[in-house]
Amino acid sequence: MNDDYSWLEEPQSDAIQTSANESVRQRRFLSRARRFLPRIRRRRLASQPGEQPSATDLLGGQSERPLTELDQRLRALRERSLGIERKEEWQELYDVDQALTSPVLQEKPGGVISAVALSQGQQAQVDLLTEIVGRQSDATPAKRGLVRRAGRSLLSIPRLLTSTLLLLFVALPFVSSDYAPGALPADEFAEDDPQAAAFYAALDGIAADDYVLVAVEYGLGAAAELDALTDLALRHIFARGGRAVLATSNPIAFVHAQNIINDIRARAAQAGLRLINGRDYLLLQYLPGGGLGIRELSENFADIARRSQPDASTSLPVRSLADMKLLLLVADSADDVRNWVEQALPEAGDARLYAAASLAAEPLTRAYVQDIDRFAGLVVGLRGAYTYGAMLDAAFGVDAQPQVYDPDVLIEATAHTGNEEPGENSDVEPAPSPTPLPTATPRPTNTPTPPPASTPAPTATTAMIRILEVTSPQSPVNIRVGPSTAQATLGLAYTGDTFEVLDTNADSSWYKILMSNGWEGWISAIVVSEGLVPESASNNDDSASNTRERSVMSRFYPRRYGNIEPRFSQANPVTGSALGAIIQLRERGGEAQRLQALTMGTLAAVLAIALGNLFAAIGAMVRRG
Amino acid sequence: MNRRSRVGTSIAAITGFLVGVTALLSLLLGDNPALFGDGAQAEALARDFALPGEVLLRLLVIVLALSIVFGIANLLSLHARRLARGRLMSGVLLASFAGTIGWHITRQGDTSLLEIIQLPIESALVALLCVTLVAGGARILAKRSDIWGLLFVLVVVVVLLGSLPLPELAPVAAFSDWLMRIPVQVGARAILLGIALGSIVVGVRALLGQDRSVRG
Repeated sequence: MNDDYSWLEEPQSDAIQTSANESVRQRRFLSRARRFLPRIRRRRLASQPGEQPSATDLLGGQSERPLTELDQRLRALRERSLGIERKEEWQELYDVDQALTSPVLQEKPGGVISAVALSQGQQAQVDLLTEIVGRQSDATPAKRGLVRRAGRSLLSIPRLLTSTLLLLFVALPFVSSDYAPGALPADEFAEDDPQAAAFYAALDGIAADDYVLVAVEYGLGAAAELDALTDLALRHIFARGGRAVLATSNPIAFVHAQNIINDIRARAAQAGLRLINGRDYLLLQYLPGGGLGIRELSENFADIARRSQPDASTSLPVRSLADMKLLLLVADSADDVRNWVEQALPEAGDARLYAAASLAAEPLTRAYVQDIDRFAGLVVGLRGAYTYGAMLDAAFGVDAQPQVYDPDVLIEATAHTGNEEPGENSDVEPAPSPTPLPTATPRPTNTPTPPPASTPAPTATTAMIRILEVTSPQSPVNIRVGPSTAQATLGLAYTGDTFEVLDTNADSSWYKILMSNGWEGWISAIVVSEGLVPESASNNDDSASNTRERSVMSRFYPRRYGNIEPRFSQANPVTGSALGAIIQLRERGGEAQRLQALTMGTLAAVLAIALGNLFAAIGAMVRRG
Repeated sequence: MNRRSRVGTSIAAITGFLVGVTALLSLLLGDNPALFGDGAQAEALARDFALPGEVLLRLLVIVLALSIVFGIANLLSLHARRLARGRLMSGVLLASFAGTIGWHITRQGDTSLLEIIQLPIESALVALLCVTLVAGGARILAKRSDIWGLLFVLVVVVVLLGSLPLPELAPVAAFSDWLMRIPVQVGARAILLGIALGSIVVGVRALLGQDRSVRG
């Protein structure tokens, strides 16, 4: 294509125009100017009268060429252009910017996109070009348009028939139980599927306060298939007293995970169980960048976890993926499986990876499971969810035996029950109107059970321990990684919060303190005051004999940091049964119907494909024969 | 290609090469302290080498996160322009965007919008996709009536029938299971190999400047 931009040229002297070298240089300059000059500048140049060739000039110029050089179409075009009278509105053709403006697609009722909308100027140009070039045929457009519209319509006959067939078959199992073909999946994972059995065993082996990273990676297409598996796995983790840390590099999955967690929380509240973000579970912030985001998480888990806390002053006592009991991946694509296997699993220490995959992701996922030792289990699709749910119902049903986690913890918790003051951060709080389940016993009071890391030996009844109380009115104050304001901030402390002193720096300007989550941090001496309390007091609130000690002990595990402990699993002697309510209260009943609808829908799909292709083959044979 | 364009492309290629090589070396050396010997000093040296790579990767993640912000800004500006031209559906989009943000701010934890609007729309989209796929599968032989089209249709039908929990179709189910275990997994592993080799080739070409950079 010959780009003739001479109409863009600035007025130039005759000397320059006569010089061939200068002309070449000028042409280069103008070529750059054409790209970099603002559009309004080009328009102004374009509107200058003078050397601008019109379309008919260009076409008319072809008359100087021998007609033998033109093909038939160009000859017809030439004859037509020579016969057309010049009009003023043809000047619109000069406005190249407007002529090149992309047309917009126009929505109309009855179809998604049915026409191209042109501006007034564009329409004038189309009319003009139509007049110049003419139509190939004036008789057929209406018919062709109709055919085209019918072919592109969403309500084409094949789609209409297919939709009706699918709808009918899928709806039948919900209407009547007579249309329930086939058998439902087994109530236990089959022996010939050891990977599914390993998946269940791994989640069932979670102990109280174990951390599980749940990677939720699925989008729109697999939500119906994988929401159930995510829901069941989270309930299983909570029912075992574990804590779930949810991560995702998929924004849609982030929303789904949030929704599932909210549903679990709402139903758990009916049993008097309160799940709190940042303590019982943690929804990590969205990880942008796919595999890179996952790598960032695996290498900087503590930072991301801290930034994801709903309350900036709380923090989980896990600092890396290696602190996880296991990794659980719910994925609908092989890419997600590959990302987590390659980026996260190597950083997870001895933790194993288990996956719940969609049918589409199964082949590649199974290949990974077979090849990687630490990728140890796999459950697939809606059928896997059905069996998994049935196994959970059997294990945590109303008649199931209460789950006992740790006898020592339960003994300790029993000793504390009923003796503590209620607190705002208890793990299990009485719901406003708890549903009286046979086995769900809401905990009546808060139990600030000290964490093992900061629990002094009970035998040292006369020993004193140093504590700090934050006294600065400018709350909150920083707790840092090291004894310097240049060190990174580990967390925040508020006026009245108290901590056990572990050490001081050389000039005693910074205290090394123990946080209730087991972390060690440094706090400036300027913002705290130091005191002593009996070490035995930390085991029993009632042992605090004076006001000072009582005041200190009531906040010995401060509000902002103490809300990680105690766990509901440690506080309630009937914990197992109570946590089982999380599974008992899940929505069920529609699973069988959904599976039967899936069976009927698959039958309809097979029918549609087979019949459609049969008719197509017969039609092709008839046309050829 | 003019001089300015050549200079720009060269700078982009050199920058890409330096950043890529730095990141690769950093990740390689930083993850293998054994290359520097034993003891704490070797580990400290490895950590020093790992630092540039980590910084570059973090920068990349930040850029990727920012690209989402730019994408949203572009979406809003595009539909604002369309609204100015009288496209009312763009106004609906902008109003929905503002409404969703406002809803989230004022009603933290309320997932009504999600449950009432997004989930049904997702289901409807998947249902449309299902109908379209089945309709397409039903007409494939009309468009491509050869042995490969027939083979495709047969495999689809066998796999679908094999997934049905019908005892009468046990032989089909066994064949479908074999299809999924052997040919499909072979293909899956081939895809994995292809992804790995392709990634290496694309990476090397970008590093050597033989492939187009971001600047084109």
